Amino acid sequence: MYDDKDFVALLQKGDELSWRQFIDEYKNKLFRTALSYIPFTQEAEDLVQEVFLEVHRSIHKFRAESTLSTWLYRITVNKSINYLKQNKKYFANKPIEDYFLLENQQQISGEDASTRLLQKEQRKIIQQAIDKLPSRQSSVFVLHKIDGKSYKEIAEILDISLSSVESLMFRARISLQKHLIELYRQINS
Amino acid sequence: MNCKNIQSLSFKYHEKLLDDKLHSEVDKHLQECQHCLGLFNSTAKTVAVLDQLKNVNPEVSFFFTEKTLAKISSAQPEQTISQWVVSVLFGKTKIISASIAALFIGVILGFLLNNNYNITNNNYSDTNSQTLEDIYMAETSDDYMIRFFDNQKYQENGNQ
Repeated sequence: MYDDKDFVALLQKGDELSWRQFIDEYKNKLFRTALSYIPFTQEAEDLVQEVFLEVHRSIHKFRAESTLSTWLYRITVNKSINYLKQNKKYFANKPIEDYFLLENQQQISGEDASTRLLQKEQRKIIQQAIDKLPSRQSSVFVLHKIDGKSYKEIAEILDISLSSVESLMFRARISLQKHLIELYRQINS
Repeated sequence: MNCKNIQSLSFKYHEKLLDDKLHSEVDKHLQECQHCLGLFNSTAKTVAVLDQLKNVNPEVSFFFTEKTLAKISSAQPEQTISQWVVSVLFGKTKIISASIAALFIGVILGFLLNNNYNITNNNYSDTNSQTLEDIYMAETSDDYMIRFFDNQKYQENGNQ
């Protein structure tokens, strides 16, 4: 429905009901993607809002060469990478929030505090390791491993070939492995 | 397989993406190599945490849609050049555009009228100057002078 030409036409006309449906459909999905790059809830939410504003500004340019959802993810990924680049110093000094922990506390009430703390530490380590990856590698890794996108979807979102996705994923795994070994070693010592 | 090759398979091993033969080959290596085992254990933790992340569905704040719609309604969509021209001519800035248009027309009219006046004036003065020149030339021409002196000579002869 959301990739329907008629629906896009309604968005282009500025139909409020369609915009409401569109935002409701994608807000949490994009939030998840943004959080994979920027582990701070407020910043990630602001970024998602900026994505919708960007879509609104340029919806008249949308020519349906890709699906609306692919276009939306592409904007989110690009904005997230740019945001990280521009605020590198700011993020370096800010402690990483664990948005997953709150979710887990609500979902798995029986889980003991020490396990949660361990998980939190592990997530921090993974986040640090992902942050160290080159941007294209981290994009492919995050979209596949955290957002659950298929290689084909990732190729469309990042506008690269399927073999490039596979190659980037392979290199991301190797790089991540190296960073993780180093980080685990630092923690254990 | 050496340690380097085994280590490169650690993610695929934990994601169960290796075929049976390769999987058992890795198992065999891990029984003998403590270094690779340590690395595989850390990868196992990573894969487990990543799997957890997949199952978590973070949500934006409660009024996100309303706030975004409010921002959208207050923002103007990006315009193409043709849309911009139309909006300048017929949009909110009517007074400014009308003033610019009036000024432009005024300048053009002023230029045309001024040019026309100069042409007329030049034509008039050209006519006058040509006439005076003609008279002067006629008066100073050889024929005229010859006739003038002939006439004087005739009058002197007549007087004599």
